[in-house]
Amino acid sequence: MSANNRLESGGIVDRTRPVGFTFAGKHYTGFAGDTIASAMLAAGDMLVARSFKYHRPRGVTGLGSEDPAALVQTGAGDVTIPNVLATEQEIHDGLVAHPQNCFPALGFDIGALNDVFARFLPAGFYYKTFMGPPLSWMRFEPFIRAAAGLGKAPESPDPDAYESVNAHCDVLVVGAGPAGLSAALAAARAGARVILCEETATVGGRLSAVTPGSTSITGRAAMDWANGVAAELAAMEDVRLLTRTTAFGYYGENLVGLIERVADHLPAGLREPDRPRQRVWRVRASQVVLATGAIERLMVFNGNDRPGVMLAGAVSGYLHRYGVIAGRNAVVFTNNDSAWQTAFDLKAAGGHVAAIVDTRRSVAPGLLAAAAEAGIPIHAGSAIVDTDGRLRIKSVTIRGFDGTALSGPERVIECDLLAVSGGWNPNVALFAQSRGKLRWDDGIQSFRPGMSWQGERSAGAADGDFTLSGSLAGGGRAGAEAARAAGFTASAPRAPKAQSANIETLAIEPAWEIPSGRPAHRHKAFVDLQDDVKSSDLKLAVREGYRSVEHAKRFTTQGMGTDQGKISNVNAFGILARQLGVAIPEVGVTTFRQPFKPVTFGALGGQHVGLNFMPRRTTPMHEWHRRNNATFEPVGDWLRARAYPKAGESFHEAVQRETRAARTACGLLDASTLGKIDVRGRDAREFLDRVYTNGWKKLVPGRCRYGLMLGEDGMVIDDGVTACIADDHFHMTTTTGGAARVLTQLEDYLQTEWPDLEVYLTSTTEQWAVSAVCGPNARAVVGQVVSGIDLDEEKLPFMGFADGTVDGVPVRVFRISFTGESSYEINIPATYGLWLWEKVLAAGKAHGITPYGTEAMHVLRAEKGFIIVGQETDGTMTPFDLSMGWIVNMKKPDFIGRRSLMRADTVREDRKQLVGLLTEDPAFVLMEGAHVIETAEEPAPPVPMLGHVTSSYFSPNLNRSIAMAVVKAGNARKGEMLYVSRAGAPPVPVTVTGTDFLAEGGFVHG
Amino acid sequence: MADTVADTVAGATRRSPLAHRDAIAAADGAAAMAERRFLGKFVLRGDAAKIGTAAKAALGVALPENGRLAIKGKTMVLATSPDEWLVICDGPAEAAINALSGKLSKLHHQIADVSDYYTTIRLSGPRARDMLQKITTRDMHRREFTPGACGGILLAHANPVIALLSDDSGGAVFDIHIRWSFADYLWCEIAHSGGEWGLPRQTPLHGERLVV
Repeated sequence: MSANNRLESGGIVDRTRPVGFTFAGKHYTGFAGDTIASAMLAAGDMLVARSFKYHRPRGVTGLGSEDPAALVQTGAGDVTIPNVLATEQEIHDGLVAHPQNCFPALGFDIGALNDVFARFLPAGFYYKTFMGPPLSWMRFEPFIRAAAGLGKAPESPDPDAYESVNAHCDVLVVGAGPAGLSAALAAARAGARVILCEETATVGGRLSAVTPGSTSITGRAAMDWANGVAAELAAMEDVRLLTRTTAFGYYGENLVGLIERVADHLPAGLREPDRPRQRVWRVRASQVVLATGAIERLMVFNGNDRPGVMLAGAVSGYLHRYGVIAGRNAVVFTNNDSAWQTAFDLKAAGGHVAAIVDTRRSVAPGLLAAAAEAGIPIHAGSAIVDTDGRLRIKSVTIRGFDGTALSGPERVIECDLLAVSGGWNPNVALFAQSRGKLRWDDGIQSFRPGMSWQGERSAGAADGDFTLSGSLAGGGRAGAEAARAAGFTASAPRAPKAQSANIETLAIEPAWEIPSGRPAHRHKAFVDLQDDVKSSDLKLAVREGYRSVEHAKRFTTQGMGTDQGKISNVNAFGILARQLGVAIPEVGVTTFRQPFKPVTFGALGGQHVGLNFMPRRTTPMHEWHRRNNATFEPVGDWLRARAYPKAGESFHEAVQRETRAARTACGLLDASTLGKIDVRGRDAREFLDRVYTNGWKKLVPGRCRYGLMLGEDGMVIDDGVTACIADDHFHMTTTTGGAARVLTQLEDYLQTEWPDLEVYLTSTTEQWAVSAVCGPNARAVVGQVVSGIDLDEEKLPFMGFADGTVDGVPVRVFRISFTGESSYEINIPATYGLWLWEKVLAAGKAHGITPYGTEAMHVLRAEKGFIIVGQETDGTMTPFDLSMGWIVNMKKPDFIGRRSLMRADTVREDRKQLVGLLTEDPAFVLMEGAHVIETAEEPAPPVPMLGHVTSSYFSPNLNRSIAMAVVKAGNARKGEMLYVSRAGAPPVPVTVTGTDFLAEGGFVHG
Repeated sequence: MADTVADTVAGATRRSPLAHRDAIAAADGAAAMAERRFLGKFVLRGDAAKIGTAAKAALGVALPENGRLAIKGKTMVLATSPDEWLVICDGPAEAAINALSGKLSKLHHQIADVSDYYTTIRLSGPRARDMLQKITTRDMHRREFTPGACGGILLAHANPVIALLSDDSGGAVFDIHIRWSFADYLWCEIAHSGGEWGLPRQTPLHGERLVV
C-alpha cells in the first residue's frame, strides 16, 4: 500500500528539507521535523510492529511518548538502539529502522501462531510457570525468551558517548505547552533560575496539534505566542530551555531526572564529536511545576487493536503538526466531546468521515449541528462491536448501546482509519512518583493531582484543566507560586487573553468496556496493546482471586513494559472496578514508578566509563614501575607494582627472585600507599591508648610501636606502626585500603565520644613517598644515600626513627619491618619520591638491590608469619584468634573493643584460630580459600569444615610451600595432621604449625 | 608533553603530579586549565576562638569563617571545616609554618605540611562554573558560590578542595587542590566536562599490565 497522505500545506515540518530514511527495507522520504511515524503515515503505511506476546500487527496509535506499541529498532551492528518509539524518533538522512519481534517479516510473522494458540497462553501464564512445579519455568523460559520480547540488545560495547550531569534551579518546569510556557515565564520574570524541559523538539504542546488560526493568545496566532515566549526565555541568563528532553523520574528532595536526546535527531555526519548522544540531567529543583499535559485513553472493544485504530487526539496531531492525514475514510468512536474535533478536523482537511460513533445517547446540540453541517453521519448511543482488516482496518461493525447492553442490528461501516477517544488522563506520572496523592474526578472520569508531598504543583491539562485560557492562567499562577516558594517576589501574572474555536468540553460518560455479543473466545478487546492484555485477562485475574490492583497487574502484566500502561491503565482500573463491583477510587492505582519511559543505561552511566570509570591512584614512583616492566595489582583504588618480571621471566619466577633477594641481599619496595595520619595534641597518648589494644604511655620520642585496632565488637579492623615524634605528636600509619575509613572512624570518636580529648587528626598519606629498603645489605645502601643519621644499630635500632637529609632534602627514616628483615623506610616529600627511588637504586647496585613488588612482599611477610588485615582477618578475628594476645593489654581501663574480648563467645577455646600449614609434599602449594577438614577422605556433604586457607605461597627462602589458615581450635591442634580439600582430587595432608615459618624452618641468613 | 620536571632543590629533582600534562585551553577562551606546581600548603586545625589572634599575627590575615577564604600577600587561607584551614603559599611553606608554630606553641592546634600531598589545578574562564557543575552535586551558580567561597567538594569520584578566587567579565577563576594520586583522573574529568566548549580531550594515563 502506498499513498500520499501529506497535505498540500500545514504542519511545522520544514517542507524545504526532504529527508530520506528506510524502515523494514523500504525507502521513505519525509521532511525535516517528521517522526518515523508521521513520515510513514504520510506514505500511507500504518504497520510498524508486532505485539509482545501474540505477535499481533501493531500500527501507530499515538502521537508521542504515550504510544504503546510502535516500537522499532534503529541502526545496525554495534550502533543499534532497540525499543525506539516510531512516534518520537525524528527522521534524519541515513536513518535505518527495523521492525522488532517479527520473523521473517513484519507482514508475515511466524510468531503470530501464538495468536492462533492464544487460548493456551492465557493471562497468568508467566506467573503460573514461575510459581508452578519445580523446573516448569526453566523448561518454558528458552521458548518464551525466543518468541516474546521486544528489541535485540547490541552485542558489543556501545560506541556512543553519553553524559550524566548535575544542575540546580529555583523552578523546574516540565512541559512547554501553554501552561508550562506561562509558568516558566512567570518564574523567570520574577528572577528565578528556571529550567524548562520539553519532551518534543518544539515548544507549544497541543497548540501545534490544532488548526492554525483556531486559537489566539494576546491577539497573535497561538504558536507565534509560544515561540515568542520561548525566545524571551532563551534570551534570559538564568533560564535553560531544553527541548527533546523528558523528565523521566521524580525522586526525593525534589531531585528530578531528565533525559536529553542531544543528537538522536541528527545524521552521523552532523553530530558534534564533543557532544554526547544523550545526556542525563540530575536536577535539584527548589520548586517544580508539572505541566505535563494529558494522555488520551483508548476505548476497550472487540477488535480494537488493528493497525489503523488511533487515538483521536493523535489523528488531529498528525494533521496539524505534520500536515499528514492518517486516513482518507475515517470513523470516529468516542464517549466524550473531544474526538468530535478530530472528525471536524479531518473533514476540513479534505478527508471523508464515514461516521461518528458515540456511546453517549445525548450529545451537545452544538456538536450535532456542526456534524450535520459537515455532512458527517452521527451514531449516538452506539458502539463498535467488531472490526475487520488484517494488517489495516477495513471496516467497523456497530450496534446500539445504552451503556451496558447492546441492541438493534449490526451495521458495517467501511473505513481505513478509526479515531478513538476514551477520555483524557491528566499525565500525573511525575506527580505520583513525587509521592503526591491522586484524587478521582468524576467530571473528567480520571485521576488528577490531589495532595502534594514535595515542593511541586501541577498546571494545565496535567492538573485536569483542558481549556486554553485555563492552562495559561493556571500555568502563570503555578510559575509565580513556585518562584515565591523559592524565595522570589512574584504575583500571579494577568493571564494573556486567549481565544479558542476548538471543542474544549469533555462531557464524558464512561464506557470502560464495550460488549460485542460474540462468544468469549472470539471477544478480543485489548486493554494494554504492548503486553497484549485483554479485558478478559483482567476479569480472569479477579476470578482467580487477584483482587488487588497490584496483584492483577502482576498476574496479567497490565501496564508493564516500556510504555508502563500510559493509555491503558485507567481503562484497566475501570474494568477491574466493574468486575469487583466497586468504584474506581476504591480500586486505586498501581504505583507509578520511575522511569516514565525507558532511559538508556549508557546515559545513566554518562561520561564515567572506560578510562574515566574510576580514579586509578598511582604513587610518585609509578612512572619508574611502568618503565621497568612492572605488572600491577589493584589495591583499593590504587595500582601497586606487583612484580617486575625481567625479559624471559615468568611472573612466578620474578616473585621468587625478588623474594630471595630481599631476604638474602637487598630489596626495595614502593610503600608510599600506606595510610598516614598526623596525630597532634596534649591527649594524643591517651587517644592512642584508647584506639589500640596495647599501651602507648611509655613510647618515647624517636621510637615506633606496632598497634592493632579493633572494632567495638573486638574484631581486628586495622593495624599499623605509629611513631612518637614528640609527647604530643605522633605519626600513625594504617593499611593502604583502610586509610580513609580509619581516619573517618577516629575523627568520629573524637567528635562524638571523646570531645574532651585535645587531639587533632590530619591525613598526610600522600605527603610522603616511601622507599622501603630491606635485607642484610639495607644499612649499607641507606648509609650511602642518607646524611645526618647515625645508622649504627645502637643509635637507630629496630622500631626507631630519625630525621636526616638526602642531598639537602629532609627525610625521615623508620626502622620498621614487614618482612622480618632489617629494614629502613625512607619517607621523603612526594615530589622527590621518584628522584630518591632512583638514587637508592643506583646506590644499591653494588649491593644487589632488587626492587620487589607487592607479591614478593606478601611472601616475605608470610614467611615471617605477619598477618594482612583483610586476608588473615575477615571481621571475625580477635587478636587472640590471631595468637596476638601479646599485643592486648587487658589491664588498661579501656580501649575500643576491650569489653567484647570478654564475651563468652570471644573467649571460646574452639574459635577459629590462625595457624600455619605445611604440606607433606613441600612442592605443593595449597589453594587460598580451600577448606580445611579433619579426614583423609572427603565425606559426603555436608562436609564438616574446620576452617580455610588464608594465605599460601611457595617460599624460595625456605624452599618449600607455606600456608596460613584459620582453623577451629587451631592452637590446640599444632602438630596434628589435617587435610585440605580439593575439587576433583583427594584432600592434601598438612601439618598444623605456628606461623613464623622462618623460625619453624630454622632459616638462617646465608 | 613536558615529561620531566620543573624544580630543583640542591641537586634534587622534583616532579609534580601533573608534570606530564601541559596547560590546555579552549580556542575561544571559554575555559583554560593549568597545573600550579609546587605551591606550599599546610593544614591548620584549632579552635578559632582560641588560636584566632595568634594565627592572625603570624599569617597577617584573620582566619576566615567556614567556607570562605582570605588572602594576604602570597598567602591564601581556605576555611575547609569549622576547625580546619588549608593554607596555600605562593612558594615554600616553611616560613609560614615556622611563624605560625612559634605563635601557637602554647595553644592546642595542629599544623601538618601537605605541600606534596596536593597539587593545584587552576581552572578559569566563562565556562568554568558549568564545567564543575556537571560533575558536582553542589550548586555552582554565581549566586550560590560567590568569589571567596571554598570548601571540600566531590567532583566525579575525587574530593578536592576548591576555591573561587574571582569572577569577573573574564569568567571565574578556581583553584582546585587535589591529592596527588587523584590528580590525573580529575584533570581528565574536568577537561571532559569542557569538551563541548572546545577544551581538548585528555586521556587518563593507562595501559598498565595487570596480573589476575
